Amino acid sequence: MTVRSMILISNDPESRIRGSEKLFSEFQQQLAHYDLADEVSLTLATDLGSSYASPLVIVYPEAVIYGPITVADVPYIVKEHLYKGRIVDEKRAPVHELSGKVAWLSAREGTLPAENRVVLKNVGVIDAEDIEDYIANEGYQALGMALEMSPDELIDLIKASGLLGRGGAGFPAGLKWSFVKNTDSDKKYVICNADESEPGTFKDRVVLEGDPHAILEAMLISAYAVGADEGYIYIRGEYQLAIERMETAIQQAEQYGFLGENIFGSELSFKVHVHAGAGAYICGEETALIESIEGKRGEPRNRPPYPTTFGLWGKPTLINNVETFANIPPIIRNGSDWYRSLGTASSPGTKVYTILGNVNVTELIEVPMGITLREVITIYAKGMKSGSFKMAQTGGSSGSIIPASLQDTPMDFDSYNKTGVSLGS
Amino acid sequence: MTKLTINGIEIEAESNWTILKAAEHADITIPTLCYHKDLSPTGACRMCLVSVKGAKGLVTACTTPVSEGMEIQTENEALTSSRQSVLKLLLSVYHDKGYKPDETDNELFQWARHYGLDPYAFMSSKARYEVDSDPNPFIFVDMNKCILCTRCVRACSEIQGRFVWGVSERGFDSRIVAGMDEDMLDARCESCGACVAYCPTGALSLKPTINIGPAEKKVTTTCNYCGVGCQFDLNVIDDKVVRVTSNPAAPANGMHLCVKGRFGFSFVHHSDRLTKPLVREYLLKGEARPANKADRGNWVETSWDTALDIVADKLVAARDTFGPDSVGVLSSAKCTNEENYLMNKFGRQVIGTNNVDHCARLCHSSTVAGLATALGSGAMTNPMNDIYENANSILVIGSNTTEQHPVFGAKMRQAVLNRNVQLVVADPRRIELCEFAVMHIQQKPGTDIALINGLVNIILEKGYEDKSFIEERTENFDDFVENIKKYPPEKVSQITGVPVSQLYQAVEIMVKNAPLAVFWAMGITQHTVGVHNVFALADLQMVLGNFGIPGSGVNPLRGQNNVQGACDMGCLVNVYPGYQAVTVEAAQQKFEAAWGTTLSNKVGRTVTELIPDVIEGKTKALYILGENPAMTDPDSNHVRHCLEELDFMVLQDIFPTETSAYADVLLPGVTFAEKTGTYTNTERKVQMVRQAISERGDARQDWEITAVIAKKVIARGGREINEAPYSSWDYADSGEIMAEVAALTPSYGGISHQRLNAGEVLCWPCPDPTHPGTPILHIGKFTRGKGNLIPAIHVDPSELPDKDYPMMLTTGRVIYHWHSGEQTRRVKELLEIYGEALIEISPEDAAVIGLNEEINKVKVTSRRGEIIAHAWVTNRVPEGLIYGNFHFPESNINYLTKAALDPIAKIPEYKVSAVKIVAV
Amino acid sequence: MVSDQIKETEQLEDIREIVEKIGSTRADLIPVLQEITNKFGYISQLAIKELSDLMSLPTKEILSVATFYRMLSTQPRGEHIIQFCESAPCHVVGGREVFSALQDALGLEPGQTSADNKWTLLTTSCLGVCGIGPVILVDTDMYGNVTSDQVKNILSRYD
Repeated sequence: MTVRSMILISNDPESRIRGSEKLFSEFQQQLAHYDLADEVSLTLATDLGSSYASPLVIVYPEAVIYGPITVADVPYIVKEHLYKGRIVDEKRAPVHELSGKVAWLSAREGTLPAENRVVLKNVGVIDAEDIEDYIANEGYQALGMALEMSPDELIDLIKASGLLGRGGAGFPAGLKWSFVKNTDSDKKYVICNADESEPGTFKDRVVLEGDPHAILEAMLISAYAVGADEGYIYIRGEYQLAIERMETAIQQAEQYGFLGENIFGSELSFKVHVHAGAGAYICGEETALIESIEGKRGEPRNRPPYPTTFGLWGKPTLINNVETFANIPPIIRNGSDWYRSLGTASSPGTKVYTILGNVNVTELIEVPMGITLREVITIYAKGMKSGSFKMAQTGGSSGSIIPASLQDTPMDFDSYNKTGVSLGS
Repeated sequence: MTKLTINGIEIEAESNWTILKAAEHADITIPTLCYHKDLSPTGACRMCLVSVKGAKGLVTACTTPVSEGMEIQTENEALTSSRQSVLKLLLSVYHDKGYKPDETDNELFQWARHYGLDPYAFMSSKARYEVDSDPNPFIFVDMNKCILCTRCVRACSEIQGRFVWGVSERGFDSRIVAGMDEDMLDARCESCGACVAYCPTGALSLKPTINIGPAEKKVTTTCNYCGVGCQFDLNVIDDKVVRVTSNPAAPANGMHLCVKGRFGFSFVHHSDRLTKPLVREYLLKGEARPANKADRGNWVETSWDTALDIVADKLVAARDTFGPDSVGVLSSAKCTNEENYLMNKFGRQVIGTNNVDHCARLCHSSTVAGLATALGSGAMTNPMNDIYENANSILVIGSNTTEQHPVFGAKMRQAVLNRNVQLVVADPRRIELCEFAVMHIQQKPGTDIALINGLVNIILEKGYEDKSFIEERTENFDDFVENIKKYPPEKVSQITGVPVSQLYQAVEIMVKNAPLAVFWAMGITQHTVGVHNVFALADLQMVLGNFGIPGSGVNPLRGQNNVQGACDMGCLVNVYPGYQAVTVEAAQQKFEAAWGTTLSNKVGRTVTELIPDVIEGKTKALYILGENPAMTDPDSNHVRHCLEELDFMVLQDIFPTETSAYADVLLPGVTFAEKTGTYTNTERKVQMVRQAISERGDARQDWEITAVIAKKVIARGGREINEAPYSSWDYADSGEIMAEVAALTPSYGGISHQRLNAGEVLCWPCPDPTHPGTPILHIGKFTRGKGNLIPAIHVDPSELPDKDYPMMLTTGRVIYHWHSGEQTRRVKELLEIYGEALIEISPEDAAVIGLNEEINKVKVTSRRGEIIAHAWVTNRVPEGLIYGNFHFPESNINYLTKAALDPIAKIPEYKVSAVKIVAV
Repeated sequence: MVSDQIKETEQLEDIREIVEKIGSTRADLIPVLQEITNKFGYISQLAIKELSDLMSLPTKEILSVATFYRMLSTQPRGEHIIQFCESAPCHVVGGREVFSALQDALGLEPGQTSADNKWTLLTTSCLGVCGIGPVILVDTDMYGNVTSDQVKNILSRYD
């Protein structure tokens, strides 16, 4: 019998705490009860994109998002939606209104969630533990396209996209790649900085858990561009699920020939290791992270020299963070013009934020660069829980304090730098 | 070149310099604490922050490279304030318990005062750590004074290569700990004291004289232990040496020293010091020697004049009754060039014999003979620093460098750590250096020639030889190859016990990482085939073309502080100073003219012949300076028996030794701290020894004693000595003696105390007063012209294990002691660490003979004697081999060794004897 | 005594297995130490010595690394390890009160282990689940939206 419907249950740590695994078994029972077990596939997926209403349940092909869902809701949803085909409107996740200026449709508008996201395109949409799901969603297409270009063309494309590193400093990614490419060496490395340690920030975790292959694909592309053949993904040790998912992803990618020797018959050979952090906030700093991979105390090095010339084991090393890498495959697939159509002229693309604090809704959002803090608070956070807005902090503890006076300043690297504050990571 | 400005001054810097280096170059001082020029920079302390125009914030001068057009300010109000904050912060965790520091102000205090802060006003009143928290007898640990600059950590890792100190915990809890937070010695500390030397705060200081306060004066001098020739400052208070501190300008060692150099000086003030001339009672009474030959009677203190008259009378009597060759003069590799020159002159001019020898006979006579024959000059070819900087591979064979030449051993570790130099160790024992080696070849003792010839065989098989070098610079290649053909790898493997594959690998390492520098010491020389061992190594390097270029050469590591100089000064039976052969007529005439007398052209008898010859009646009197043959010569029982039979012995030394039992007159000389002169180190560097304290008691300068004896002997007549340029024995000081040496010794022609005191670093050959010296030998041409490829032939050791004596014994020293131990056994801290002789035995053999926690002593017996000592069960030695030392009289390994001599160099085969061993 | 020796021998065997599995290069040090911490609860001096031999590293290097990372321990830890998030997002939603309740209930300062070896109390930086702060992690069980009066109940689940 063919599968006619698919149910994804969010299974990030928060959802788990809120009982996602119990939901799963309840769904199993209920589907069995209505004899739907063969027709409806049931998956404990991953973080489905937002913690604001977790646990979330998404039902395909309708792409209806329910949340937050409790065990008590399950019999009704199965009976109504899957047995009778009626969408249970009252259990749908809350929907945001959008400011006219922002040309982006939220997943919760009822359209397919992936359509307009860049970084979080697959997060919550695919089964992160199944490479086929990724492939079915344009996965590894970008790698194929990249390998048809020369490394220089590739780097030019990244430069043209205007992508700025999302690690905090906003350094042009294409330029960094070209530094590594232009340093002669018998050996080069690519490192993904997934040591997300800024308190209050968990966007990278969501990507790692939800779309690990996107990171692998991006690392492969960058390895080809800079001439590296080995990579490390440094994931903080607390992110156990992310580590497991990434290891699974690597295994599968190796099986499918996306990692290994002469990938796609090209000259690119690449192997990648997951390095689990052992609990040191400082290792988010890239040279400390390198020291840590080398098995040392994670203490920052003096710079210069920079990792682009003297990185891991003294070899030229490209380090980008998770969000930066996650932007790469979409840029390759869709081109630099498309990317520049998002965000602002000086800071193209989108930015993923976690919203926490004294607001009505705390959640993870991906919005174009240039949105204002006021919009974030009023539209996404549904306003302040109590009192008026006084200040916000960006990019975790080492970000900036944004006073009320900057509420209407566009949130992009350029505008923030001009006012002397930092967008953070 | 990079142009930049510092404080408005335009500076040209090398592009790889840091701001700090550029500033130093322009004589601009930037304050530093964690930085030291010898150590890798960390940029941790933030004292060296400077402002750079256009840079975000302040930058650390010690780590930031210069760039074109940089505009740097090293002093301004903001920087002063930043530095004051740093200093206050550091002082806020600094606690001073109040004992006297070694220096008036440590570096932290100096900078605090420089920036107007009274360190005592800002320091913490609370101790966070126990004072004197480590039981190491040499190093006083007071972490209350630690500012976490990590210089000690880096000094230990980067200078000594020992990795004892580390940083534990993080943030405010960070602290310096030894090993896994244990006692330093348990963390494999070798007590070199480098951490103390580099500590800028007094958190680490020198324990033996803690709380004694700063020195009244410091005198730069040269160490009196091994041939490395380290220089340091003797710190003096109240005419006593109280400590040794590093002197960064020291040519061979910089700041670095070993445990003996830094801490082994207190023997100078030991109560055993000889301070009055002593003669046997029978001599004063004018009686005959007591009938019991084992006991020459009581010692009686007497005046110098009386003692020296007796000496002169006795030597004259022996010379005139039994001929000049009945007298032997044994000089000392511990004494200065000047003193050795006089001993040589005394034997040859005053007595008329070439029986002038010294302990080089026992250590490197085979090197001197072997290299002189092969190359024309018997010394280390390349300086250590040159090898450190330029060699790409190093072969250490028969040298336990980290224990016997610790500062050079540390340099080898540094070469491996910093330059990835490929180190190959060939040694029957798993010596400490093996940890740093890419390969340890564990050949059987006494099979070195087979091993080296086997390597050369493979080199020729692979066509790796340097054909043009062989063609242009060597001779005798065809004969040489004929011999090498007899050493195919399989046969070599059988003889040496080294796998064939390892032989091939070793060749690949050495050939692919040229230049190769070869080092050796007693493991090569102390064999009946010692000279052939040396031939083999010279051959290897000639075949590979590793001569006359940086980072290459043959590098015998000389043992004693001045064994090189004692040889240079002609304290050998066959040569005048500068290796001018006694058998060459021109040389004989030259010295006859200089000294105003006729000289013997007959090669003299060596120390290893002179003593046994007593029994034959050929040796009647010995004048011994600072040697201890009763301890150091092989087959001690026999040596002692011979010495008992000797008619007369005058012994000039600083302590009563085991040999003084056989002496008739005992003359108190002085230690290195009390004399001025020169030592020549193993690299041929001639270096000043400077008097720091006055002579103890009535002890006299050694050169003066020899000169007075000479004058008294000459005055007694019996030998015609005419007025000649250098016939006189009137010297105002040791500098005048060096002037005479320079006049008569071509290789020392340009060496003078004046030049050395002016700071010149001179390696011989240095033929004239304007010559800069010759650090690397054999550039373009060997001393003898063409290098002589002499076939080296493997012969089994003279005694191999058999069913009665089934084990092999090899001998040597340990890091904490020196030779017969006369000095180091009088340093109580050294005894605390290593207080008795230990016999090293493998766990396998230990199990066989039944050693355990209760039964932990062994009785070792050879055909010549037996000793009992505690066992050290260790895998440093392989099964079937044991190792012992000769530092302790009660269990001196030389009771067991055999006086089998190399036929050419007459060096004994200390390195192989057959023994049996039982647990007791 | 004999059983101690057997334990030591077993521990050494396990350590050798871990190194064999993970590797003995410098880069393998942290993963090896993590595995040892997981297996034995902490990194003993015996383990450091053995690793020093197996990985050709000075003991001070191993200690230095082992004491740098919060997830590694050179001290024996309790049966259950409680990690409390001390980051701002948890702090502002009442974390401080919860933490003092936790400290009161256990009678422990951060970093301490209870006398009966049952509990070790640690603080941690952000666990990345800020949406449900304050957060307590007991071993691998995560508790979110914790209030002071829930603390006793949470602890009682481990009796």
